[in-house]
Amino acid sequence: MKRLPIRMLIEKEGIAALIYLALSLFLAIKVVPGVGTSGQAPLVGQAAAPWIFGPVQVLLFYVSPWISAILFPFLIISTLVILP
Amino acid sequence: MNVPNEEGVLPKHTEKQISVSQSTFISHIRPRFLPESAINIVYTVCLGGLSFLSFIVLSVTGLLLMFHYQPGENTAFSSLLNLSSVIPYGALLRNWHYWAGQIMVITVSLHMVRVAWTHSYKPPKQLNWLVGIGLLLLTLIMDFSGYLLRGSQETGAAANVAVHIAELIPLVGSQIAQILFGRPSPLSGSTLMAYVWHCIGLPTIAFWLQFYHFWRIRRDGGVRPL
Repeated sequence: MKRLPIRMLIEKEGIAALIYLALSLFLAIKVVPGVGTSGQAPLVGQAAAPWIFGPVQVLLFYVSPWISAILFPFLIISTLVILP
Repeated sequence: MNVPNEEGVLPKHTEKQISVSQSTFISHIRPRFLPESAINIVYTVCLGGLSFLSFIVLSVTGLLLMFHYQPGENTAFSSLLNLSSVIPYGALLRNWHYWAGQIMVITVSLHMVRVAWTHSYKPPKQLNWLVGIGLLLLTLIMDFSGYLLRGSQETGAAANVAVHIAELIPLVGSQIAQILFGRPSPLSGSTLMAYVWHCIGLPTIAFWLQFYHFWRIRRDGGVRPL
């Protein structure tokens, strides 16, 4: 297989890093993440997890916690582990 | 014997060995020449590298946030407001920390999809695949623990849901919940336990696992094409 100097990889990594930094800083300046509701405010009575846990949160409404929060994630992780 | 003398100085040949092993490690993960496939950006889309860059940004911004953030039921939310509105550049640091975390969750997940798509989990890379699963889980737990540190009502409810879920695990559930979350109030998910795990415990484990991950990538033959 053809071999190339690492300088070419460093150049591409540098460009990707600059794009990443520009994008993340743009988001940080333009899109302000919420802070939620103070504990001293009237009760909102709402549990909200980060968006990545959305599927588990939806499942918690419809099936038992054992299935939605223990069995479901366990099956996904087990599938990934046995993949090789 | 490779032990320091009475003045705490290592023998010269041991210092040389350490220097050689360090340079060997660096030249192993950053060799002077690479296969063409490792340089083709279409093969990797830089997702692993961008995940690591996110980790660096998170470490730096997180360290700076630690100077002003105070965990705890009565202090977390007010210190967060203080950071967001009073401390110079505090809002920028907090926002950047938040978005770098969200980008890291996305890039790590896509990196897993790319590795699965290219069948890069197959031998001899199965051990590194398992390390990758560990890093994915660590990323998700760090994302969740960081969310709890907001100290808002919503995070209090989320922390209590997480505690009840952990307690469902037979025999060790309560202990796991106590170790991971402490005793969160219903009105604030910010606890000292979550804070220490988020700032020290989990990033330290992730840091060393990432270096082992990088080392194994080269060891196992590098990147496979799409």
